[in-house]
Amino acid sequence: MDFDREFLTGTVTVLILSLLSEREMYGYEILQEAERRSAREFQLKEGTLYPALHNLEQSGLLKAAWRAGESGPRRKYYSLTAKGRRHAQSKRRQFETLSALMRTILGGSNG
Amino acid sequence: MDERQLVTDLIEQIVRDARLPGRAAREQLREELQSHFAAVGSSPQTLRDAVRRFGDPSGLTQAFRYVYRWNYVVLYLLKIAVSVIVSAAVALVIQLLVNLRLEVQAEVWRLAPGFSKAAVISVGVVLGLVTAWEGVRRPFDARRAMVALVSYAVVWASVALWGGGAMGVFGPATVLVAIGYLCSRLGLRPRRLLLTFAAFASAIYGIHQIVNISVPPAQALVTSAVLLAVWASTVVILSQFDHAFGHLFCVSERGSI
Repeated sequence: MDFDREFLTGTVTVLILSLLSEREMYGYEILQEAERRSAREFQLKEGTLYPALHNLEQSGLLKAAWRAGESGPRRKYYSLTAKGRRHAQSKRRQFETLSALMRTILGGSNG
Repeated sequence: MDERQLVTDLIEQIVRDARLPGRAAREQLREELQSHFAAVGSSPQTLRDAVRRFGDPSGLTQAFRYVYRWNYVVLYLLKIAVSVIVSAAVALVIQLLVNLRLEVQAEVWRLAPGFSKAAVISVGVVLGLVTAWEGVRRPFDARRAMVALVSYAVVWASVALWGGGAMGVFGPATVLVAIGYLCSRLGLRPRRLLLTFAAFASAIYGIHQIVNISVPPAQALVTSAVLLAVWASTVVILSQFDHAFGHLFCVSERGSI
């Protein structure tokens, strides 16, 4: 499913930080994991993911480490810093509260 | 086109245009993107789909530029500041060498009476030339040109507020830079230098006539030659800093004076 950009702005950060709070991942792995969990309904674009990862790394929320892949070139694995972990928790709480509120509001308008 | 070549071209375009600070950062981005495509698979259809999923490369490079914008801006401003300092220092050394006089009887070295004014006008020319260099840089950007002009005005306004003694140099320095810039648009280098030399000499003579100060034509020629040396050294310094900056960010923007 395609989503409007305005819906995605901000949620990409929550998504990346939440996935990385479970374990370290490389870029393609994050895309695959997001697709798998959404049963392929949500496709995070590479053009959005990589600048977002670099932005979070520049902001000190992520750190990166290069490791050898199973085959082929080295992979850049991203993981949360301590600051990133606090930020992830805060963002996730905000997102869940907002989602719950939106569901309540939209559900109310249907009834 | 071969799919692997398509992937290589896409990666190179992103790495080239993303304005990442330094060769190491660009190399890491290249490796990260290569590992992405290696993880995707190797069949032609898979690679084609993967390239399509990246979307418009220019949108992606704009996003990277936004991420690293402050590195770019800070180092750009640093480049300008350092090039002004180095150019002004070289200009002062040129004026120092030209104005140093040996008083034979006293056996001491002294600076000629006109040194301080000559030094100030040289620094003025350097400031004006840097402004023109950044303002008309190709590809032309009206916003950058405006920032350059406003910065130039602010520097001179600060000089006026501080003491004003050097403020009288603003007009002549600006006129000389305008003349030098116009001459740089004309002809090949040897002819251009001669033309700039003659135009500087005429302007120096003319400006002194306007303010009722008598300047012998020979002195106007000598002053012109010195200012041409200041001009040429500044152009060389600005070119070198541009080259280093372009190398750092993989950009091909160049001053065009």
